[in-house]
Amino acid sequence: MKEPITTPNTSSSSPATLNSGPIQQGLDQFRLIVEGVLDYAIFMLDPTGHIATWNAGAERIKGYKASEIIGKHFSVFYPDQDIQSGKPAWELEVAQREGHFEDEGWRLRKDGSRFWANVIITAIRNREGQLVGFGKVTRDFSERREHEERLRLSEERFRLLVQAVSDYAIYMMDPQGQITTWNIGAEKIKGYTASEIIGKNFSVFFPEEDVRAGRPQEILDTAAQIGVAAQEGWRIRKDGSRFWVTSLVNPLRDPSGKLIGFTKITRDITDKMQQQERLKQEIAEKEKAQALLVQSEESLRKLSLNLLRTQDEERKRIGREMHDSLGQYLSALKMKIETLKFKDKNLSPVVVSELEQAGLLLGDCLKEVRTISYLLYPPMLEEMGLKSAISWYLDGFTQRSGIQTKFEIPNDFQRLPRDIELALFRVLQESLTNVHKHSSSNSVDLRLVKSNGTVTLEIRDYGKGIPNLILRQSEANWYALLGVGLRGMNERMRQLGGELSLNQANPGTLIRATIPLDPISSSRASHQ
Amino acid sequence: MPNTTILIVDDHQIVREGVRSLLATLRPGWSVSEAEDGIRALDLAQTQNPDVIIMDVTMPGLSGFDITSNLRKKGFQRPILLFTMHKSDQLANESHLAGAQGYVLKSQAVADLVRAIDILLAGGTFFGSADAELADRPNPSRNEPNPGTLLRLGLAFASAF
Repeated sequence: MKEPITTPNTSSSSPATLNSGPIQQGLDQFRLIVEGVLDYAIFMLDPTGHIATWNAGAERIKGYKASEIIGKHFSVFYPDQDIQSGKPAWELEVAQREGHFEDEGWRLRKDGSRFWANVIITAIRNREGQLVGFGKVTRDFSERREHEERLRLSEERFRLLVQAVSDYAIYMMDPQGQITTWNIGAEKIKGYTASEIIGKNFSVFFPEEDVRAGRPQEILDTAAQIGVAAQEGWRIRKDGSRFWVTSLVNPLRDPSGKLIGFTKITRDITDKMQQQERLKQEIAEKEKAQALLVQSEESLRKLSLNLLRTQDEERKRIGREMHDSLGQYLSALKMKIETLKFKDKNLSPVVVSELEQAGLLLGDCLKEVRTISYLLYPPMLEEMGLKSAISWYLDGFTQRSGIQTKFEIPNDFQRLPRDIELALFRVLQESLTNVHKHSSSNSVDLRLVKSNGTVTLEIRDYGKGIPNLILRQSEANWYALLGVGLRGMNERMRQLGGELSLNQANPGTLIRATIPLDPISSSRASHQ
Repeated sequence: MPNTTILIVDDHQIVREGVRSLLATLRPGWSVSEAEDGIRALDLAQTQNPDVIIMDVTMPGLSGFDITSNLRKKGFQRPILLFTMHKSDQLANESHLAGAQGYVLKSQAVADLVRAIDILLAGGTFFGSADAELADRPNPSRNEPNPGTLLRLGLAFASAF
């Protein structure tokens, strides 16, 4: 407790009666200072609380002039409820008893407005210890109070905000990881109420294996060292269930840099993770289905290749049987019939004529057998190769269709692997059949070239071209619309690793079949 | 040429018989022997050295072209006449390149075979048989496709794929 200030002769002498000298000089200076102070209301009360002096600061802060206020009781500065509760008298009592009273509270200005005052009342006694009055110093703390209030409100709002966030667990820990605050989100996510968890270590959220591995401390150490620790992993709720989180731990430091704790923000992303998991699963299933599809397409392709091969074999067999067996019998028969007239010179002219007719019929028959067997499987394709087989086929095609053909092939064009020769020959057959049936073209240009390890057959007509409907389709599907013939051609090409393309040529159509030449199969074929 | 010797090479007995019968009728003095495959043909050609060989093209094992080339390599110099079902200018050309002097279609045997052999024996060549058949009788499908033939072609194509 402070000692009451003592002053000589305050009540017994007027200033004019004071002794002159150094003391008097000091008191005068002091009074001048006090009177001139603007930031503090400094004035004196008599022992009953009536105002005895007044300074410029008092006038500024409270709005009264000295002449208006001196002699009035200091309770005019107090709000009604303070007066009713006897606060002014009580304050003087305390100051008198203890020498000193300090308070902060609302006071009134002359105009009735309130201000937040910091008040110090000091009892003043004379040398004999008799109370001669009170010194009162009042400061206007309204601005400071407003600032503090704003800060408090802002902090409160922030606290409420954090408190109310429900999607994130946001809490604070002391440097050892003991939980010091807890929000709604934390309660919702982790299942503990604030009262249950505050004071416990945050390691309770970790699975046992993580705790054994010292993971919680590791996180705090990391955050303290590098300023942040971000993790993702399993955590445990109060009920023991697991959930997957992402979380951030940041250190809190005081102005001197000393670690005072940590903040932790945690988000439960179990749903998100489960969604991802489901998505992954769906993708895996789709990939599996895709693989099955590819597999079944592959087996379909193999099947169709087998069909084509079987068909080739069967046609070859039938063609050969017709040609080499039936054809030979017919040839022999024709010889016999035609020789008869030489064997018996006495045959009647009617019989001779009939025999000649029979010979001609057999000739027609042979031609038919030959044509059909050649179309089924051209014998020269096997024996003499694609070049000869195409030339032969084009002769017949022109005879049958009236369509002129031009065949361009390098002089040194060698034999190709058997399957490639057959595939190209079938493409040629199918394409020319299409030209004849659909294009109305008068001529066809053909080109067979080998370059860069591939062989290419081009068939160009000058007819109506491909219907737009088909051209508009995606490239991968065009052959599906062109019937089994072109599909078969395409399949043959694919099986050999080649390509079949169908192009609008203006006028007409250009079909291009390209097959890579495999050196192994080439050499095998050439030795067959 | 009463002592003319002919070797017939064909895997079909009925064809060999037909040719033998034809030659027996038209050239009764010729001596005819037969081979049913390439091996036998090479053997007989060397042992008998026939004046003319009548050679089928398509046979199991060695083809007529193979045998012809083979004989030429072995120094056989007598004329060889390919006798085949295959009607093709291309084949006629190939047979010439293989070393044959003649090419006669089996379907034209009576009309061409003896004529061709006579020409070969006289030192000439005969490759006209392929065209002879066309000249033989007007072919309606030459300029205007024969509907029956086209129908069969169509069926052949349709079943091709």
